[in-house]
Amino acid sequence: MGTYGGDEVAALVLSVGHTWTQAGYAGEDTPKSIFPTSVGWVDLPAEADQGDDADNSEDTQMQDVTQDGASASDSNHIGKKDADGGDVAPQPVGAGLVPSKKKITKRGKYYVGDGEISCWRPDMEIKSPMKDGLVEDWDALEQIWDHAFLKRLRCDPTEHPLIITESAWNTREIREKLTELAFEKYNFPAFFVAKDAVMTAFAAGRPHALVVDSGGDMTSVVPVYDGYVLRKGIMRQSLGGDVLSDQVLQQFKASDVEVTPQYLIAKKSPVIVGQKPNVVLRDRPATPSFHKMMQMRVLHDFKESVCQVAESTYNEQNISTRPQKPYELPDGYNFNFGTERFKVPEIMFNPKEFLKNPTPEQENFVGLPKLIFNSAQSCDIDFRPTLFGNVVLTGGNTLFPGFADRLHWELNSIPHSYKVKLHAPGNTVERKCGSWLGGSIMASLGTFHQLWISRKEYDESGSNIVNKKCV
Amino acid sequence: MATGNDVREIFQLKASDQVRRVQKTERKPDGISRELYGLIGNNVSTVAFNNPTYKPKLNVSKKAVNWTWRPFVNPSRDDDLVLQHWEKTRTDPNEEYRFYKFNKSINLISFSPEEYTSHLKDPDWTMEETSYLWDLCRRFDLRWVVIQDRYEWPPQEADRLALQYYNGNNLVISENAPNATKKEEEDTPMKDASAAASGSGESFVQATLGGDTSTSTGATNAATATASGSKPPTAAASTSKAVVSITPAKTRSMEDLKHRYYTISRILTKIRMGDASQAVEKAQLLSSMAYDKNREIERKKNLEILNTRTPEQIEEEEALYLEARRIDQNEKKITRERENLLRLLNTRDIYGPGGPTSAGLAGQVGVAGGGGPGTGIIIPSNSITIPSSSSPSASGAAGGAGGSGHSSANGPLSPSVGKGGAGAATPGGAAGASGTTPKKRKKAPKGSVQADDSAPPTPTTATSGANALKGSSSSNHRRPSNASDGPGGPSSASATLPPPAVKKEKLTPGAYLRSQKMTPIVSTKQQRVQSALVTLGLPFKPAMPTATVMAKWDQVQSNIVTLLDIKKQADKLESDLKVVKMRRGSLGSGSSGSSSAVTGSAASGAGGATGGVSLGSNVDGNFGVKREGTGDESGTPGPVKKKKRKD
Repeated sequence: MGTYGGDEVAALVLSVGHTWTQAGYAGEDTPKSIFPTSVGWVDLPAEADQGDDADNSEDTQMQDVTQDGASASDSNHIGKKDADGGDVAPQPVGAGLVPSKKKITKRGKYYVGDGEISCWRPDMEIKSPMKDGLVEDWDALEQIWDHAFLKRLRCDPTEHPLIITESAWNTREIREKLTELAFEKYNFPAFFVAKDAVMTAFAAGRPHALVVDSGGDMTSVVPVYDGYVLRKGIMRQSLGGDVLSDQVLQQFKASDVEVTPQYLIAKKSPVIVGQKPNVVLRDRPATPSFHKMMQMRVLHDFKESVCQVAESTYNEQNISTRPQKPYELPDGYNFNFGTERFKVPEIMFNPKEFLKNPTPEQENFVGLPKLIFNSAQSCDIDFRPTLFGNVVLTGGNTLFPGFADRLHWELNSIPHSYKVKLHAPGNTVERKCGSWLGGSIMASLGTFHQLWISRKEYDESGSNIVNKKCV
Repeated sequence: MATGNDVREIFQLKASDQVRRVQKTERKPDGISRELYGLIGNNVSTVAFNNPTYKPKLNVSKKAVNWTWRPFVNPSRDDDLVLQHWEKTRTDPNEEYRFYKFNKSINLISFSPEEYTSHLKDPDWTMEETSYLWDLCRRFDLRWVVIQDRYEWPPQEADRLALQYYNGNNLVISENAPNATKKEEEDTPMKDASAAASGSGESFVQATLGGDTSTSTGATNAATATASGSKPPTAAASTSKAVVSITPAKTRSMEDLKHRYYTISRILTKIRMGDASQAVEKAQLLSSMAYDKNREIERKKNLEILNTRTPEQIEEEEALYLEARRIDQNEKKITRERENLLRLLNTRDIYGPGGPTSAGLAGQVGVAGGGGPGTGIIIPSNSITIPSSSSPSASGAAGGAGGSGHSSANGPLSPSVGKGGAGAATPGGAAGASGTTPKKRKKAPKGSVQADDSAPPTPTTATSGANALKGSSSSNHRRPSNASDGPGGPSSASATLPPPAVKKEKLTPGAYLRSQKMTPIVSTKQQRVQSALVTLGLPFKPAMPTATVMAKWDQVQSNIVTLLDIKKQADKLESDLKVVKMRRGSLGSGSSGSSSAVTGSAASGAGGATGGVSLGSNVDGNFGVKREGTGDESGTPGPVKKKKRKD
């Protein structure tokens, strides 16, 4: 017991990422439940009274980023059922949204969970409440919390402390709202917010680390010193798995291949390699967001089964000698992929060259090794050798075969005199749920329990307490 | 074979008496051999039998430990958060939480506003910023990397509040601050002091933000606010608000922060630990707080440079380093050799200036210019690379001596010159001479075989000194200096460097391996000979010791030994020459040589001026003796030898 240092208080651990949400009990090695973060809903027809309570639809939120901060009272409703879901993350506290006048709809039933959202429903919109690691859609986030605690873990929130993970660049306002949500709506006895990078380092057993997290939405490099994130060294760009999938989609389009998701296919028959698919489609009108999500799933599968990273610099000649891999799309179209399968993940290392048709934002992307190097470079020189010796790789987008080897190779080919040591867990669960795992470990430590934000502290200091206690 | 005990164990019964298992070994009756008795006797089988070890049985006699799900309070918290966990049922209900003892925080030396104004002022820092730094240090337990990362002055309101929250309820304590700050000396509790410090800082910020200074903070704080406000040259207390809003966020390097922290810590330690009794402790503390900002900056700058080297630079650096080391080692080697020489010289001085040795050496030097006998030096020099050619080259050289004395010694020319110059060369010698070129090496063995056949052949048949050599024994060539003990005349000086004589075949009874007949080398020289063999690309021992090979081998070996000896002697000679020259220089150019040795060497140096120099160069070139002052300084031994091998 002495060396173990654990003291489990049955805490819940929740890690909401852009693509996947993980929930479980502290002290366990795998989340009890992993489900997509994306939620689906069906818009109800516009209502007559468009009062303050009216929820904003997705697109109105986008337009209403500018505001005057007049509806300060809105923020107090966060965490309640009828809360204004349109609060956009980076807004200061007390600034709500002015409901848009032109198109107000109310979201009807929400659909959360893998089975629910991947089921075809006409008019079902799909959206992830997270953007750039920040909470964007609070209504949807609440649905996720509900789903995790009540439907999946099926626990009584009042009995368990809760620890959640957040991105290293999370804003004060978001954390305060999360705190409110935890205490006001769910009545957790204690609550804590931990940085996901710190948790990942924790899961890797390292107090100091350079956490390289490449997920669906974005890639970030965060230096961690003794359990503290070094803010000045955070490097991130929204180059993640989704961008790669998009590129694959573009490639297919360029070669005149339609990616038809499974839900549209009624009947198909085998065709020879490279031939047009012989398929009968269903008449299933869906929202663009739903169709996009289903397409992304196909492309995700494509990436998982076919793509690979070249071990050293991308060399077209060497690559073309590698064996090709066949892949069949849901509609029966199949093809043998040679160099294409190496080109896709190569975007992570050399976006300038391999990213086709980049948007203005994407033109500024830099390769992952450069990103890592810049991050380490912005830290104190005495600390850099430690960082290079503790590069921790996490996130689903790093699971391409050969990714870690390549990264190691690249990091070594940048001129510097540090010894690079890459920690990339071979276990996929560990790589995908790094931050959850760290939270699970930390919340089951005896020495951690003095750090919880308790109900009493929240009552005394308000939601601001989270910024004081969780740094 | 299962025994009763095994059965018992299977059924987890208590084993029967263990003692019974150990059977007494019966004594072997006389008259039967041990092996036989082992087979037929009534004793234990020869197969080793290990008693199987089972897992220890579950000890059910002990009562199971009771665990209870119970609420607990962590004393590390100031609120009474009740969490629940499983724990062993307590005997002591008031037992402290197990992890409470891990709740540690660092002890910072804190300062009061008075102390600040009297001791800690710094034109670059205000008290508020300093106390902000202090708060950060406390918050992050002096993790400087983090402190530097989070340092932001002036701080954001929320950050400031968070810091204050962490550092205790400052609002409450700062109300007591007036009492604490009134007369704070060493005895003031640190907490209060810090509270006062941060309290005052807070009051300042409140003032700057136009907040209410009068509500919570007392007069003292207001006073400190004014004091601090007046500190920066631009601002008074009234304008401090403007100061904060105007001054851009300062960027402070980690060195700045550390420097400030350690300076203050040092000053405070000095002030507070005034007692003589604490002197040792104080000194220790002070030394632990030593911080040299400039040095740190310099160090980091150098580190930066070090880490931004390109691979090419690193490579170059390594190469340079190796080169430097090599030069260094060479230097050492040369000085060592020189010392040895000097020692030798000293010993020779015992004989006096006109001593035989020096005379002999001087003679050699002179001879080189003269011709004939000088070839004695040349012989082995050629022989080192082309083993078989030692004698022929000698002859060739000897011939050359007739034609052109010293040019003959210069490598490749020698054979042809020898041939052309002296028809006296023996057939074997001629063969060998032609064999000097690697192409015709095949012939060389023949020559040596011939030499072998013809009793003790005198390799330098052509030389006039051959007679003198005949008498020299095989061991002679190993002691060239001894040989020089002979008559000091130039003609006999050739005897100092006997060519490798062929050893006498000792007849051994019965069959023998030819390799056994290898001439042993004196152990002191063995290593050097071996290294010479290595440079020649030869193994330490011949792989196929046939008669011819062995004969060759012996010749090579003895030649090497001779070469080494000659090299040594050349060194000696050189230094000798130098010494003499120096002496002459010191005596003055006009004065005549006082001693015979001096004259002799002077003759060699001056009389045969070209000869002397050329000998020098020869010796140099051939033996790779590094010397200063000679014209053709040819550098290290390695390349020279190589050059010679080409010859």
